[in-house]
Amino acid sequence: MYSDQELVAKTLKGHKSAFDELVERYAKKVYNLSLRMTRDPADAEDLTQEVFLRAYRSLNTYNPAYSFVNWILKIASNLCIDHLRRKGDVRDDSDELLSLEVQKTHPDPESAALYSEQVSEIEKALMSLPPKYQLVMLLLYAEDLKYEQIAEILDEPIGTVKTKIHRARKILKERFFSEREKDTKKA
Amino acid sequence: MKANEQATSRCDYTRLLLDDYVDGNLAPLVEREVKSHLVSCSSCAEEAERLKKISDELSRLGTTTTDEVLLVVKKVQKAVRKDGRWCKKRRLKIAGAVAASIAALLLWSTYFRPGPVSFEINGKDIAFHAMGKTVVVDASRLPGDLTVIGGDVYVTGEIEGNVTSIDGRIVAKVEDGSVLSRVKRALIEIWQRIWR
Repeated sequence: MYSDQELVAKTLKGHKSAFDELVERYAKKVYNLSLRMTRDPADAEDLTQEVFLRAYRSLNTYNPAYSFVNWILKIASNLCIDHLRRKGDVRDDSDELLSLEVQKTHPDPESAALYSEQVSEIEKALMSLPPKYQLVMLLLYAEDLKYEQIAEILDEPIGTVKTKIHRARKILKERFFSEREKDTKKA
Repeated sequence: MKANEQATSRCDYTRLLLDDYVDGNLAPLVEREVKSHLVSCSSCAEEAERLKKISDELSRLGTTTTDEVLLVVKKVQKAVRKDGRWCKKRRLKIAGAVAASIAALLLWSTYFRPGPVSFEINGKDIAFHAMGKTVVVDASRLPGDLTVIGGDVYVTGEIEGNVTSIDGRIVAKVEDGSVLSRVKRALIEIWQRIWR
């Protein structure tokens, strides 16, 4: 089995099937991340396609000394944030806003209601975080990455990543347990 | 330091480490310290438990099914094949390099043919502007017959007499009004400027 770097080299020599192999290896990761960020399967599909097209077009800029999966997730992260920004979902990430606001990611109330029924409490809490914090948490949990990898993907110092994780967890904890307490009281 | 203050500072210290503790990023010695504090402090233990619960819940976030992903993979592969912008760029670069090489070769073969060149009008040697081994003749300055020996001749206008090229070529009688002839003339003029 070829390594990612070997497949990149083969693609650069003109073997398109080598890139197909890279798509097969990492489409799931990219699609999952996009789906969690956008909460819309059609958007996630479009984003996944765009991520790989961009990767293909700029493959000659990829440095084989670094991990290919981190590189592709970096493209995916940037595109997801850009996508949400275009849709008006990205807000200020200041502490104050982070702890006060609940994010509105579903402009359409019907789809929001439907989604709300389908997702778990933890997902609802996650949805309430600003996208940059959601992204860090998804990279940590859904993609199962280490702090160092997340720092590489986000191009941020490890300290910043740790701070984001700490803040996000704190908010998630508060929201998650306060919802549960409400439910317990109702019951 | 009083016992209460000691406990608070130990709690503060432990809570600073709880994220790393939950993620399993602590060194064994520090991890033991945290564990031992959690055994003796119910408040910190509860905090750790809550963080662990959040982590467990997040770790259980569902992923997409294989069928969904397969569909996405197929679509992405198709889109990449269809796009192929990187390959197109590469092909364009190669085509550009080949075209430039051919143009350079043609230019060289047209203007830098080896051998001496001389030319005369009505049998008399005349100094005309020459580029390498090619003579460019403006017809308005050509009263009679032109003979070029050992080189190519380019005529850029109507001529009264005959044009003869010995051991060379009459490359073109340019002014026939065609687009090609105009392009040729433009090229000649550019070349003349460079040469001067």
